[in-house]
Amino acid sequence: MTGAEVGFFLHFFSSSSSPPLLLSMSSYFAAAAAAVWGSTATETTNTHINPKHATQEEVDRRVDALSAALASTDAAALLRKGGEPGLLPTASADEIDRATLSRWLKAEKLDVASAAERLEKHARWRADYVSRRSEAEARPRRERERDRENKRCGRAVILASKRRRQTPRRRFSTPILTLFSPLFQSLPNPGADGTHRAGEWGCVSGRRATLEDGRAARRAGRGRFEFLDGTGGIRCFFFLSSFLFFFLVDGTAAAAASSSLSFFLQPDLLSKKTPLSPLSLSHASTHHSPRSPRSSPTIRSSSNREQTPPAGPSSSSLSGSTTRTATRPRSRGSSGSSAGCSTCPSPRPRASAPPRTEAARISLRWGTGS
Amino acid sequence: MGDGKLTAIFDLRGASMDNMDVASLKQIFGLLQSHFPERLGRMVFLDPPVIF
Repeated sequence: MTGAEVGFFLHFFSSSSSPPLLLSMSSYFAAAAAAVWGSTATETTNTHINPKHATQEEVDRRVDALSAALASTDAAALLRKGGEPGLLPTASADEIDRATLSRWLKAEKLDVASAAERLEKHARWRADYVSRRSEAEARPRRERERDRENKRCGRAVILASKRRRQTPRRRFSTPILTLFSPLFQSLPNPGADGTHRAGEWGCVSGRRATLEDGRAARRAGRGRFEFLDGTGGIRCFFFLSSFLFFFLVDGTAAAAASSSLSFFLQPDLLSKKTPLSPLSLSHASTHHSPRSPRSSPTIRSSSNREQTPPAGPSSSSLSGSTTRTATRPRSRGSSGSSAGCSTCPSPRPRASAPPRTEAARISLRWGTGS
Repeated sequence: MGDGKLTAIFDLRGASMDNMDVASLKQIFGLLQSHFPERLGRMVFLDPPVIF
């Protein structure tokens, strides 16, 4: 209805005094108003309304309009092809459930045209990208199989690096141990190398020790690294002394016993100045590296006896099993000889090293893992 | 939450600009905004840094 027509009707009602003519014109006006109202109702579905201020009747009316607008398209089929089942099982196969329509409408402030356009675009995207994955019943079974496989022959990688921090009062040189382990794997990792970064352990050098995230500074102890995995309840302890470190895994004795653990040494991981270099525990040249004589990882047994790896391809991996973890941080500078390297001289034992009673229960064994 | 909405929990412990992957975050949020509208029911930030 144009402005001229409205002006005509207003002028007629203000100037006309003939009842029959008024009656006939009023009926014409009613018919015209109905026609105008119909077109206005269509137009109002394309206006923005804040969903919080809209009535439920208005939302329902626009949902119906959106459903009607999408009825002639293949949006429903594309959505189902892309794995969008809808929130309600009452929707038939050739229509989209009202909850989905309502969500897209509210996202577009109840604008039916814009919501229909976005929903069609999303349906095409979903059919193209999401349908490539095989979902449904096979996925949990595959995940369980993968978990069993990881427990059987999981491979953990530990990266040792150093991070320097400086505060106005002091400088920190923080060794960082990063564990990449499929033992902690709980989410699918498509396209990756199969390892997951489980966490970082940090400890300031010297007597003040803290975790990397700043938690439990007092509990961290002296050179003791602790990490509690939030998903599996797996606790790992790292003990760092002046020239050696070894690790313990608690709670996953069975998994750790069959896991192949490889160590890599990365002196400056963050700056990426040094390429990643594998550090074989039985490799003599790595042990005698003059660059990092204090940070070479050496596996220590608790009873101060050497753990000599067997010859062959299994010498570069370590399988650690723990029967019980130490509960008290070990003091610095413990004595003992390095393991896995027959050519390495034994570190000079310190006379003041206290006896380690808890660590006597720790056993480490070598192997390739099953 | 029963109505098709999700609860997002962001563990921001130790988060800083050094370990922030801004490009990935932009892609993730763009994906959520474009294809999963009205799905966020609640968002929880765990130990956020001071910038929050």
